Amino acid sequence: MVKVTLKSAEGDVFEVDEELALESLMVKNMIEDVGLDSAISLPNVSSTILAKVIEYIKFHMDAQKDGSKKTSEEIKAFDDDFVNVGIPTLFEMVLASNYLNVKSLLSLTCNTVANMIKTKPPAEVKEMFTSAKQAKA
Amino acid sequence: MDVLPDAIVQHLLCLLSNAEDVAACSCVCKRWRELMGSVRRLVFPRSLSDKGLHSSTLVSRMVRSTAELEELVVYCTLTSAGLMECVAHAAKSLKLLEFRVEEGSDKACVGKLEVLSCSSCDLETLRLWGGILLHSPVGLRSFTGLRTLEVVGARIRDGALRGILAACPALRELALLGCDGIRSVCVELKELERCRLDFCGSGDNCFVSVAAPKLRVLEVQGASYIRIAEDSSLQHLSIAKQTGMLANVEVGKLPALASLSIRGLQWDWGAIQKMLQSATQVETLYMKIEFCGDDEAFEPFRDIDFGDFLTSHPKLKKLDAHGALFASLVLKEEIATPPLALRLEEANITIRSPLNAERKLQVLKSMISWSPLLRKVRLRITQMKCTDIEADEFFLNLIRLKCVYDFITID
Repeated sequence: MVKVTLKSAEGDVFEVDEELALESLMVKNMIEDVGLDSAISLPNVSSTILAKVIEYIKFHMDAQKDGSKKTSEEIKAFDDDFVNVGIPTLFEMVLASNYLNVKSLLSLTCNTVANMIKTKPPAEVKEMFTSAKQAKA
Repeated sequence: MDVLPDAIVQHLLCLLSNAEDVAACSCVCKRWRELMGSVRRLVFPRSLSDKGLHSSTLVSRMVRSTAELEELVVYCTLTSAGLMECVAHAAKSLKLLEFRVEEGSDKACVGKLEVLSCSSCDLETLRLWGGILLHSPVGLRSFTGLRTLEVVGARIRDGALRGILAACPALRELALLGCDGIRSVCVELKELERCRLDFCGSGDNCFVSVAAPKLRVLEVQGASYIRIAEDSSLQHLSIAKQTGMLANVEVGKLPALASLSIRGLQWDWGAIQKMLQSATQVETLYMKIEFCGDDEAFEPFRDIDFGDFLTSHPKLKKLDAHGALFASLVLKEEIATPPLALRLEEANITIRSPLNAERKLQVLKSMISWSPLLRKVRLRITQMKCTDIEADEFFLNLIRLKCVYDFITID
């Protein structure tokens, strides 16, 4: 199995299977452009978030493989647990999945944010976004 | 507030379709209000009318703040004037419109349809909830682009329905669900592919005639007389009549039919026979009918020769036979070898009484021994009294059968 080296914003190196890396359309394009020889640098994604994204893709790739015994309930439970994080982390995952172009994760995280916005008064929505910004800064 | 880029905020706003949420978000900040224009779908819940708001004004004001609204769903009160403003503003982009009609009068409902047909909207989907349509609409122009029409829980008379169907020549999908007051309906639509007709309160003499050469799926519930035109390409047919009686089915050959479901309380014997004879190519067959006979009395079923039944449905893969219809299957003569290579893979059978136990066992045994591909048989035994010796013996025999063939399950 061919390996791809990904480098996070902090410079940490993650070695993953090529198959897994190709799930990110952004990484896929990079590989097509520059090949596999050098590490792919992802300056917009922190190590913690990159590790989470890899964990997400890996779980879903395994779940889709033939012979996988994972039920749709188990997959749903994983997804629910995966996005059960603080708002700052959730927003970082939205940004990362948008930047890396991982469609399924983008839709999962965006739906989570949208559900949080639902039925909230404007002031609380504003609060939610400002707190995320402060945490980032 | 700029923690997320515009494109993502826009995407988030599109995920919110409830008008209350969207309205709340537009108050969050100026940037969000500007992004609001990109909302594609708005849903106005019924609770808006209950809150004492002037919902019609609210709806049209919000619709006017959008730039490319594609789907509009209104469950709260919306006047004809409000509807007119909405469709006039979103005419270019609006594809789906769904609304509830609550006015008790025939005129209001027809009026709304006329407003719609005269607007420059090119709707693809129209869904109406409730409403009363008694008279054939006069000022109705054609909905040339309409692909899907659904009318739910409305009171419609035949003439009005005829007028509406005539105005929708390009329909691909038609659904009349829980509609009341229809006595006779002729669906003649060249492009129609799916059709669901569910009538309630139409008494016992509702007549349905369908002539649609491209129709693939037809589901009819509650009609007493059904006619399906000759040149049919139906793939899925479901006919149910849960109360009253299904008196007649006129149907030619159904060469493309892969799935057939017939359900009901009382069917005319001829209708059952005709259905089974027409559906020679079915792969999935579901039968659950309690009685046959005419208007006067319930009658038990006549015998159906199981050998003939299987021979005339050579493609059958999945069979569901329940109660009386299973009991009517019988082996007329001993056949040592199977009629042909059967493709049956799965059978679900409900047995209600130990009557003719020997005959039922025989049918089951021959079904199993003739079907080399059979993987799953599910027997459901219901309503049998445990004290009955006959029942006990029958049950024991079934258990013995289960011990021989491990793919049988008994509930």
